[in-house]
Amino acid sequence: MGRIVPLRAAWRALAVPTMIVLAWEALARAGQLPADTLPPPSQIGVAGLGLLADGSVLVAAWQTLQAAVGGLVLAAITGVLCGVALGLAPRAARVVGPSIEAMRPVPAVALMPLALLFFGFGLSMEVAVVSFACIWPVLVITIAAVRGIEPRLLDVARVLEMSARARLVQIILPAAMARIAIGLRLAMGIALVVAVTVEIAIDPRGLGFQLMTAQQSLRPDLMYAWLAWIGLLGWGLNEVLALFAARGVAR
Amino acid sequence: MIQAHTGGTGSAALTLSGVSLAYGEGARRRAILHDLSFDVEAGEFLCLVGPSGCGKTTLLRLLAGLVRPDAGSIRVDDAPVEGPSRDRAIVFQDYSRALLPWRTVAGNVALGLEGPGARLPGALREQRVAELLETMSLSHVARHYPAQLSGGMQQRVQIARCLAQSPRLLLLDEPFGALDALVRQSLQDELARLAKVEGKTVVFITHDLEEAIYLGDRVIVLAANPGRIAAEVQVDIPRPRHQLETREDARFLALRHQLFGLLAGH
Repeated sequence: MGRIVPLRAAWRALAVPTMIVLAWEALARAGQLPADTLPPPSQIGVAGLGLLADGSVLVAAWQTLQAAVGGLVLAAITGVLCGVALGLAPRAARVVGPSIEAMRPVPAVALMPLALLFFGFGLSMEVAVVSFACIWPVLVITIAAVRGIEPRLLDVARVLEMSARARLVQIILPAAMARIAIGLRLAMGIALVVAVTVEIAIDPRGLGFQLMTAQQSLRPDLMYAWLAWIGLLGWGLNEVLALFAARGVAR
Repeated sequence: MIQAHTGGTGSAALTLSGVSLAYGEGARRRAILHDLSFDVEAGEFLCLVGPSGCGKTTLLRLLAGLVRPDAGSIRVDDAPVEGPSRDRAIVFQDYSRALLPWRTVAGNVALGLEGPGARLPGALREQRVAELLETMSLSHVARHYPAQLSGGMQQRVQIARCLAQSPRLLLLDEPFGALDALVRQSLQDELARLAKVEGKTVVFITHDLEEAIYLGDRVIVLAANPGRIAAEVQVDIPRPRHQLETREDARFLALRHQLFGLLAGH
């Protein structure tokens, strides 16, 4: 019984997309749709499988993932380190706080021209923009998490005469970890979006760039195929995140 | 006030003289504790009882070294209290906040064995944790997390952790205040037994007069605004005490009558 229900739910979830694709296919074959914007799904499917067969999807996805994960890791390390430091030093946080609040609303994608100047085309530039976008949720949430630690636990640490290092490793980091993880999740969600955006806009690599190239070379079938692969990658990353989240809840 | 104390061995383990503390600035400055002086003898079980707002918790934090007094001195074994120390364990009332939620029961108890000056080798440490879990009847939940336990069990974990740091002085801040009556009674009896078996010097804070008389070798009643000593009595009821008989004992009732007015008068 328990296994039948999710299966049924899966079929239910697929009902609407299946109907749309079938209708789309029928209309396209009947010549009722403009072929240069809405090619038949079967043609898109063939193009998509072709991209998989010649390996170009894997190459492009790898490039995009490199940028997204690289930027994310950079942001996570910097954000957590600075966040813990600022969370523990309220005075320093008061000095730095306004600057953080001033920088945070700057759209990361607006920094693309700057990043291009500094790093030129390629991975470094993309990592820089992604990490700028990702660092704020990590930093802000880490500061709040460290500041919000149960004061009773700090009393316990004092009574046990813990060294500063032990207090950090044994008490502060584990106590703040659940909330820091929320910041990391938010950042993960942003990372792929920003990486693809940078590729679409200026950086000639990765999934975003392939998507643009397909569109510019008047290959709507290819364009949809790339879009589908990007969507699939996003979905996959989200599933990984959800898995982490479930683990986190279960400890 | 000089008296013969039945519970202690005759030497002062803890001495407060002229301790005062105020919070706030300028016109809003408010005295919390005013000119407190008393001794606690080694091995004595001292109960401090008082109405809310009499500075009980602040007093315990002073004894733990978590707060410094504005005036007066606190000495433990004749050395001034400069700050928190492993020698003075404190059991907090809010047990759920005082435990590490990411550590198991055994891990939380082991915390008391970690840190400077308490480095037992691994095997001995495990053995000590097992002993303490056994003592506090926690062995069967050793691998559980605090959130999986009832309030009474969580408080047992905290007491076990405090015992793990092998303190000379055990400070308890209304440790059983949030527990239901049955659990409170069994923990009272276990604590009383442990304190005597291990020869701990105990300072126990409560707002429950009966609990204070039941547990204490001596009871100090505090008055509020500012916190100061209102009365001090010896409890000459032999141990082990019993929840039913002791509470019906004429001496118990007499003390209760004597002190009840002091607490109710505020």
